[in-house]
Amino acid sequence: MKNKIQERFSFAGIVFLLLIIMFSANSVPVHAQTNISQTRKSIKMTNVTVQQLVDNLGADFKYSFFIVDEQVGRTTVSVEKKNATIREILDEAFQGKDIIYSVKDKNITISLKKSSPKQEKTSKVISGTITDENLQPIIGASIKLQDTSTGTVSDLDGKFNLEVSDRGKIIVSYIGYNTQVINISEQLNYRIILNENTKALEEIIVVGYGTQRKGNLTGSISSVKSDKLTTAPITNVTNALGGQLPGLKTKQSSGIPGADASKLSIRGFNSPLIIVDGVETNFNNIDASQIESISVLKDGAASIYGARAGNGVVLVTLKRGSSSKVSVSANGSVTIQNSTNLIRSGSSGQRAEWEREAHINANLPASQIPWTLSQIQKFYNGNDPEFLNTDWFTAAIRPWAPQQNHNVSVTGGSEKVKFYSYLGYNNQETISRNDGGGYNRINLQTTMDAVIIDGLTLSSSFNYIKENRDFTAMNLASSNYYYALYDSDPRYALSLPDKTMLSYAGSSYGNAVFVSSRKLAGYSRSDNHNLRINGSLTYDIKEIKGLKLKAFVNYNGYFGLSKVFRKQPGFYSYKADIDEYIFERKSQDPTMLAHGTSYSEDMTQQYSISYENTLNEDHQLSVLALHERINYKNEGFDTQRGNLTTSVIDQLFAGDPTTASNGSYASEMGRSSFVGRVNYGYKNRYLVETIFRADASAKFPKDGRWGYFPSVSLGWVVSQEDFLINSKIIDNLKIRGSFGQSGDDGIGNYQYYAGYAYDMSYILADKIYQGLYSTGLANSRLSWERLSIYNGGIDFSFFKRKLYGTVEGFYRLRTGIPGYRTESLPSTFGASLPLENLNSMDSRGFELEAGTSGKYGDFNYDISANISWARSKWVSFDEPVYTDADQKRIYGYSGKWTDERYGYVSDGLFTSMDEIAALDYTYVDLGGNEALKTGDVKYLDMNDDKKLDWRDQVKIGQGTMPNWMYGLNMNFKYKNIDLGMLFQGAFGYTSYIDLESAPTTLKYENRWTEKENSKYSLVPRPGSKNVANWWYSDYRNHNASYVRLKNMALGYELGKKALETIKLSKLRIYVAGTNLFTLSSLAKYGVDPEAPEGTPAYYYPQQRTVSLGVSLNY
Amino acid sequence: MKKIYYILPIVLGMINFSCTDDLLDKQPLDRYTDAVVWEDPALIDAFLLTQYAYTPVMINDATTMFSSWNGSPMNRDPRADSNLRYWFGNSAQTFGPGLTIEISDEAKYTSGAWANLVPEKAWGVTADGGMLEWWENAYYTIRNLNEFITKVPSSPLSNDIKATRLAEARFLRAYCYFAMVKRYGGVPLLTVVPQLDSPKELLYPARNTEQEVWDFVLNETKEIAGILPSVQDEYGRATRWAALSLYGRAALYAGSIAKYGELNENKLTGIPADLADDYFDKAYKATEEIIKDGPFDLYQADINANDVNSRIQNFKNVFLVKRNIETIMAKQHGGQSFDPGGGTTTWSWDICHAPRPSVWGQGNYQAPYLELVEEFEYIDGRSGKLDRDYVQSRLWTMKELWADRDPRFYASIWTNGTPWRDAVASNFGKDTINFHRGLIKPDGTMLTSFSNSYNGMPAVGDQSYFHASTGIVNTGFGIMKYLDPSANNMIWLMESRTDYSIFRFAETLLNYAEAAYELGKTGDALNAVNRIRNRAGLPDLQSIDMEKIRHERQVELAFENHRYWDLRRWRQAETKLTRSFSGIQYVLDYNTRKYKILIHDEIDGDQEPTFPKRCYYLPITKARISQNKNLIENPDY
Repeated sequence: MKNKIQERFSFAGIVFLLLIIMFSANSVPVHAQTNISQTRKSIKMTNVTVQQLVDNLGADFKYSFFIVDEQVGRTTVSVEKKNATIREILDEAFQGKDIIYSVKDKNITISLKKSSPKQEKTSKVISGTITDENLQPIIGASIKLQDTSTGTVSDLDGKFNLEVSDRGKIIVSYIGYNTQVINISEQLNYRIILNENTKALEEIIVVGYGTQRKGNLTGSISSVKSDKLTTAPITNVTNALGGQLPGLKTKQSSGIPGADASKLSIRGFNSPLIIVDGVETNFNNIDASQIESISVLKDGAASIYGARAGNGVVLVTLKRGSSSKVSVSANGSVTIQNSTNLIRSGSSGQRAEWEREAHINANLPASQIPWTLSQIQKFYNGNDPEFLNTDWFTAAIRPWAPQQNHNVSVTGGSEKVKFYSYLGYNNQETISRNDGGGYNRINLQTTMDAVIIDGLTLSSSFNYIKENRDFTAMNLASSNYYYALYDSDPRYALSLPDKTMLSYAGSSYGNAVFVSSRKLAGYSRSDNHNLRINGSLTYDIKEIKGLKLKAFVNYNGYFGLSKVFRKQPGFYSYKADIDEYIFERKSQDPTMLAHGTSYSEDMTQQYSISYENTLNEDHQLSVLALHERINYKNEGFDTQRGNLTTSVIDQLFAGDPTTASNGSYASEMGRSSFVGRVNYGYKNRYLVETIFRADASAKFPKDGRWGYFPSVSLGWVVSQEDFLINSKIIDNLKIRGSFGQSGDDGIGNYQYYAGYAYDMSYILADKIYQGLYSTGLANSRLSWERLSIYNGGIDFSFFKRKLYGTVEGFYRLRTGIPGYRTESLPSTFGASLPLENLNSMDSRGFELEAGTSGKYGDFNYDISANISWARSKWVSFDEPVYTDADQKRIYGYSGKWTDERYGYVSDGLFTSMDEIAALDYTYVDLGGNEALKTGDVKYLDMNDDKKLDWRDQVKIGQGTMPNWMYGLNMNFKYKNIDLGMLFQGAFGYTSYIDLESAPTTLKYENRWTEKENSKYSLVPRPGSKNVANWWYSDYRNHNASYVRLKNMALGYELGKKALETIKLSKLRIYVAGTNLFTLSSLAKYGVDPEAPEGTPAYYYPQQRTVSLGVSLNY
Repeated sequence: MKKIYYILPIVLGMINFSCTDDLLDKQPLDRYTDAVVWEDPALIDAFLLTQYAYTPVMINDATTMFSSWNGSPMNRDPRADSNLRYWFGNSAQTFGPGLTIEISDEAKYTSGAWANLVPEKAWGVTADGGMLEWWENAYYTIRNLNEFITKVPSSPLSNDIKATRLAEARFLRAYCYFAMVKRYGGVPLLTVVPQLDSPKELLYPARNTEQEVWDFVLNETKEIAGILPSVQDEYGRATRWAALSLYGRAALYAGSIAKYGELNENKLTGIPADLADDYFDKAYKATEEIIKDGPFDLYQADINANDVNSRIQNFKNVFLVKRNIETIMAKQHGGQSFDPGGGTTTWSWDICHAPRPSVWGQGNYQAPYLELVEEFEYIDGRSGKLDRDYVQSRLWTMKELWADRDPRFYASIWTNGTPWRDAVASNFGKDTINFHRGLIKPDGTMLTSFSNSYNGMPAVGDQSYFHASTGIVNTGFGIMKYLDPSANNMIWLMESRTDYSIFRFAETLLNYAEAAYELGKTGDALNAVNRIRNRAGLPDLQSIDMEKIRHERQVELAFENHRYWDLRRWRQAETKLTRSFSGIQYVLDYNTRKYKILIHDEIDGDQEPTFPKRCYYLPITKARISQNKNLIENPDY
């Protein structure tokens, strides 16, 4: 029964979605541009309102009607005409009425004929053109006579005609632009330039389940628009966010094509909830160009997403159509990527030198010293065939790799139907020189908003993303790839006389060229298809102004197919003197073919009722009630076979059937929620927002399944007060405060079930049995953690935005953080403990954003900067009750910053045996100081107890996520030239850097040598097995801070005249780049500041890109 | 306008469809629930089999199981999260079975294995512990077994099966405690399943005395020896004989600790000395029972009385022939390796120890010391000690140097000149290990680098090639015992399919001999030792003493995870493991094609082994004590 219902539900949902798509598709011809004024129609309507008449006519004549006066709309008219043009019909309908109309292109404006003789006498018709600052016409701007209902809208060329009285003012407004009030003078023709108002109060900000006027926001919400995301071509949009939004921290830890996303963190919290067009979705694979805006909900405003919102919410809104003529825009760019910081493999001379020193230093038999000094010199010379210096690294890795990003979009529509279509293509190749593959993506999006019948709007969108990753069989994210790169020994030849044989390079993977090539090593491929279809019906209930009903359904499906085909050739060396090939080994991993699929889907339904109205001019009220249901499902299977007989056919059947294996997985989850929100504003001056959400999640047991998350926020727009409203200094000043509760349910499903799963196998009587293990104790009380956040902020704008910005501070208390009671419960307990809501943490921080914008003649500028700080403390943490003060200090959590690091304090390296002999303390774990030698790390006896032991550890740094993060965004425009720059930086974190584990030039060049005997060498004595050299200390844990030119673009836009000749509305050519320049305190360790901790060579480096691109609009 | 009336029902219909509880009432799709498992005989048995696998200490005291890259529930040591060395390197499937070899006086760690005990060998295990640990994993397995023992009595298994399976679980539990007590001394003895609301004494248990833990192991194994069948329906399960073997081994250990160890005032470590004979007597009786009544014997199937060399292959086959008469209990290996897709039914011994080139890398992760090699007597019973000055004073052929030794030498150790398939033999015929490191040219100068050669003769033999090219120092020897010549070591780890003998009859004889000797029954001791020597091909001893028993034990059971624990229980580790060891270097003389032998007295370089007295017991560690204040640390940590 259960399944049946689900089936029916899914079926209904799919039918609904199909309907939406069909509706949308059918609407497309509406936009065909035909000469409609010749259209004729027969009509008979008696005693209908003008509104009803034009509604009827609109569909047939493809005109947009603007009724500028409500009174006009309510006037009743009658008409009966056969085969008449629009003019004939209107002329008859309005005969004898005080109604006039004007036709301009496909817009018809209907207004009241002013019969007052006085007015008639003094009236005149003015005309004008409305443009933006770039002199682009603004279409559909509203031009109204002040204090009247007379008005019109601008046409496609931004032009308008309006009958006005002699004196008075006209008000020109358009969404996103500053409204202008213009005195009517003698002149009849006006050129009106509207200033864009991207940061101003009228800006519409996307908030949870809706939008809000920026001026009315009370929550802490930062927002960024599409143009800031597309400064330079990037494949992963998360990499465009660093430094853009105050309070949003980013860290990119790898440059692997298709997996180079930055880790996002709002105010230093864990991963935020990402909502794309209303639905939780990953947005790593969405093109930046598809995005209209990104909003970040940082405080109680996030409570509207309830149990998932505790770490903040990132709201991504994709572009949709607008009511304008069809326009096409196309962007194309080619990019070269190269590593921000390429660590090279050590040369044969360096390696030999190290081995010699290590051997001698370790006091190993002199007869086995690996190299003589003259042999080492031969390696350095590199011209003796017995002493090679092969550059495997350069043979495998190229200095630059290409990337391409192209997209084209079409948008357009009328008041009734709007559409938007997008097609994007991205290709990013790897830095492997030899057939290393890359990442490909196609993004396809179609959206449609159609007024089906009056008041009922159907919106639909169809998104399809196809991703293809095709790399070598060696996983680029695994350190094995880099081991092979660096461990390939330069003392071996790059190739052998017989080119069909692979040359051995001392690595367990053969050699570096092998691992980097799909042709040689095989491939690892994955194709992912993501289909997101959604549709909504919105019904404006006419009878009650501002009341809307909305139903929204979204299907999100992922289908993935992965295939790994691994080859295992043999590697040889060649002995020239005997002309013989010696088989050295095969590469480490056996031949294998793995094939797997994965499928996951989620279906979201939202039903809402909302009301928004201004009552008695002063009371702005908006109310939302919403019910949401989400159903998740995922499953998949993997199969593989080994011992492939040949590497010719990459199919399972070519593998050895006795090695066949397979596995599968499946899971389900569901959520149900109720959301309520009330916004109230009085005179745009006093603002209140309250949110309430009730969430239920199938992750939790029935009893504790429902959680309730309220929030309230207040705002006082001081600048709207009478004493400031006319201030010349203060444009805007708002004080905000909020409190909200939300949750975090990011834990595995069904922790409240005790279960058994398969693990291990064991042979009895030569038969293999699968074993079963207990997945651990269940906790029937497990629930989400709870987060309470307090936020206060001030928004300001002075001197007409010569200085604007926001200051904001927050405090967050996080309780019931799931943890394992492994610390306070001894391991004798023996079970895998259940997750329990054990721990609590509080965070605090602030953000400051300030900017200035303006212009001097043709020079426009907009500069904004932001800086934020956030840090967390454990309020309580499940841990032993330490009785030893040092244990509490070093190992305890409660009451301490969450990112504190403890370790030994070093004082460089020992430079003489006398220095060791003079130590007045002993290394306890080495059983004394006898094992110490010059070149070993010297630690300090911090507590002066004459013993160097664990008690000497002190705080030596803080975690890897920066406390401080800042950005500086600068945009300049001079005539046709524009320049945008984003600097981004961070400080207040540390990074543990081990230069020794990888055989890179860094290791050799920074090593301690007896000859130089430097106290400050970054790598201690070669050959030392002294464990103390590896103790966690500030010797390897370094303060990190950096500033980098995250992206920059220089563009040139073609002038209007040139554009006219090539019939384009816009053409911009640009050069742009990312990660162009970096200043970092880690530079001396040869490390990118965003590199993962540990061994800095063993990862795919971040990429610097330089692009050349063109974008055009038609 | 009227269209709304068509569309609204669709919308409402959907709300209707979705208003069902199955949105929120979902079940896990990838797990069995408690209720299902304990009612299903197959699943109950599957759970028990996992506990066999979760007792990796049976395989040379490996302490974890390799199950996946994410780790297994077995990787419970707190260090495991970040420490690949621990959870991966110590597993029974990778390098775990080699660890007690290299921390003893048997062998030196060379390179290759991800886990090594080099720091522990040089400075002793430190107060924070970290290696050789069998605590978190032990209590995990013990809890599982206790749960099994609690739940199975009311399960639908037949009474016979029920009794046997319960006894098997108790055997495994006893083994877990045995492996703990020999490490830590007394540990908390848990035989029930603690719950979150259990009394404090159970959640924060104090340590039992060392004696109590040994007695527990002995009482349990004794009792289940009366329950378990002599022959199980499926080979590989614990039998009566396995229980008796564990009993015998544990009693012998307890006896030695009583006799040679110190009793701490708190009795958490040490056993009263006056109980020594009692334990020796128990060991004596149990081993005697196995010898007399058991279906086991020393494996001699491949001995040709006329060919002393046949004894080499015979001794190799003790470890290669599956289910042979000498094996009392085995962990069977077979099936697929881990990659692709296999489970935990293979191990990695061959890849760790096989010589080049039939192994990737260099094999030879643990290199036996010359001192161990010298313990192997000549075939006529002469001491195997070399006259080191003489050895270094002349040139040798390998035959001259290594001829006429105990056949077990050739079956346990490989060196320069040992036959091995496919070995690159520049000086020997084909298929012979070429281990020289250095070449003396006719003009008397010596070439040592791996890229040097003279007239086509490489300065470094193939087996030393890897060592020389990366600065690794070797002892000149490798481990032959358990090497399967047919193993494919060119693929990945875990390709060994030889069975591992958890108990073999030769150990029983040696345990018997030692217990008998301790009880003054020298005749029994002599006979047992001579049985071992006889099979090996050595002449009988005429008299017996403790040194001879220990010597025979060291040779016969080399690399089988006895030596390190033996030295500890005899309290000899402080002297025997605090010293330098030696290795040799073969230098090929181009003219004569003989070898100059260089003996290096401090083959570990500046990492000279040290065994501090405190290391007779591993530390409880301050981390565990801060979790449980009722635990008391062992002395001197």
